[in-house]
Amino acid sequence: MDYELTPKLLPGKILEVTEREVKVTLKGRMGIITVPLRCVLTDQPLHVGLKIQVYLSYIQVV
Amino acid sequence: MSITNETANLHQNDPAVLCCLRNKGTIISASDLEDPTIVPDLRESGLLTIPEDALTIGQVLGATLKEDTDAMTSLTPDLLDGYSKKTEGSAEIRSSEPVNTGTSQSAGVIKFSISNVQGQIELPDGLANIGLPFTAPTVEKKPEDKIIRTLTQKEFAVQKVCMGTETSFNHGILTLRRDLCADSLKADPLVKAAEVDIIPAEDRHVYANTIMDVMPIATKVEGLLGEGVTHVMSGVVIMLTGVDEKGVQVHEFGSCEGYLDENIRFGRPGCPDPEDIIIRVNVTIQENTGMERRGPYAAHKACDAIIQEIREVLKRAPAEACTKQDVFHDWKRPGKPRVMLVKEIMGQGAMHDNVLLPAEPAGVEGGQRNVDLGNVPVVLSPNEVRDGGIHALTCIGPSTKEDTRHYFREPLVNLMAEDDEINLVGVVFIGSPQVNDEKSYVSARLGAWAEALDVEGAIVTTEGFGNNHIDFAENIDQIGRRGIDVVGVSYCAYQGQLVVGNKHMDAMIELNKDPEGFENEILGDSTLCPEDAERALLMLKTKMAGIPIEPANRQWQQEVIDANQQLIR
Repeated sequence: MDYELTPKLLPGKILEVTEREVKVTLKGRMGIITVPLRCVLTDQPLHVGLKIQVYLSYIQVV
Repeated sequence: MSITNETANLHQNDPAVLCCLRNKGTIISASDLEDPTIVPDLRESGLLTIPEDALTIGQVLGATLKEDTDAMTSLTPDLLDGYSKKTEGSAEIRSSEPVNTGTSQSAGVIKFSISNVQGQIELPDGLANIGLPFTAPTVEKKPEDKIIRTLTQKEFAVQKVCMGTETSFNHGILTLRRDLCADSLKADPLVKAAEVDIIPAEDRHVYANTIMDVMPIATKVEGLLGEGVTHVMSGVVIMLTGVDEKGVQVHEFGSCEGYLDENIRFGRPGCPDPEDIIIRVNVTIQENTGMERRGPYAAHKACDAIIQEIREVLKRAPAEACTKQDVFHDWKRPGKPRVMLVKEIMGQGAMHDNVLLPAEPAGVEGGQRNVDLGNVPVVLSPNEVRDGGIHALTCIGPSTKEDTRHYFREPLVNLMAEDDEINLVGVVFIGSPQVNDEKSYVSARLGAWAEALDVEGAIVTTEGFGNNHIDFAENIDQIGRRGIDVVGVSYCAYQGQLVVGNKHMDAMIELNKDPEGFENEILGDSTLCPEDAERALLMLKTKMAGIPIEPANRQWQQEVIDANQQLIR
């Protein structure tokens, strides 16, 4: 099936920070994502509760 | 990317842009032109400029290029010879033709099918004297609307709810038996604890676990669901909340626990009204069962057991205590355009499930879940829906989900059922499975229903957003490809933008109420409200009347919705 996927700028906030990864929750109860620290761009030290935003679309199984 | 002749015909009034380098002398055809649907994107990105004197596709077809011209060039008069000055309409003037009527061709009678009144008819001399075989038009008797089913809902106002030694309802005071909760655990072994408390209208700043549903208290007194007499308590609703034994919220993604005054859009069809007393039933289910079908279902069964004891006293409420009475009819309106309403419901399991046609209004016992039925479309009469024929297991909190109370007072069902310009033949509930093949399977069955019901128009709604929009698009396509006018209704806005589409999705109603176009986590906020229902029905009538509907903007704009709303007031 052909989809027209347009990434959307979604807000969220940090739930957990370790020395390896960051866990964020997306506004609108749209999921929780864990990514390596190197995937996070920031001007300040990371801590729980910081607001984030990320461009996201849907996951397509290929 | 070049286009086909069919696409060119559909977009005759859109700007003509070359898709590739073309040499001097080329006679422009559809295969030389860029897809007009991506032209707005090209303009937005700065790759393309459309000058004021740009020619349209209808004007350039058949014209000859005067010089070698690059791709992504908007065609203008100075580049072409032989272009049309004005786009010609596609309307064809068809001449009248004799009709072969077979055996009805009696001697001396010639029948014409007249499709266009132009020109003149010349008759031979002498024919005027023999008299034309015109007969006086027969006055057709206008068929009358018929009532096929009547439902009477008697409301009993509740002024106060309290706990006591036994469940009773007297003089507007509802008393709940204290042991009711303990007894409700018998409904399902997965339910480990249940508590009930009462939240009055003046004290909404109360913390609650994830809201799993909002339900009316209603019971059958006479007849089956959708007919006879139903008693309903007004001024009070049941709210189901839940956690598992580990304290994990029974949620979909990111639970919606929090303060009720911040998490609920009071007054929406599926929400408590501002003055309602909330009876909160908080259920604890076995650990780790919150994301399986059996966990949330067990919570709903326990809650239903509690409500059933209230229903039993409501059944016996004296007639003189009735504070309001509503009478609803299922109509047959012969001679009016046959239309159907399609409600797409979640069908992926866990709390994405619904109980169809329970024994009691908005109940659980006696019903069948749409997931168990394979998510195939099931037809209910409007009265069956209004009498609590749908119990939603949907884990609500997100602003776009429809709960049990929403279906109990669904604005579009009410509006379409009462509109005497249309003949609402039924409300079709179709589940949304996970996998695309399954989605196609149930959508095809919906198309078959539309054909079998012989409808001329349909409105398709969906709660939520995400991959259920794939079914939504396919449901509309299955109806539209059968030549039936169809209108779509959904939350899309910014976050829930559609990911698929088709040519039948040309009349759409947006349900968003969030200023930024997000799923804002406020219960019921962007669900279908009476004003949305009015826009949807007017859109359907407009489409069925053959009035052109302007194409939607490429991006969600609240101003368009506000302007459309003004047309109704």
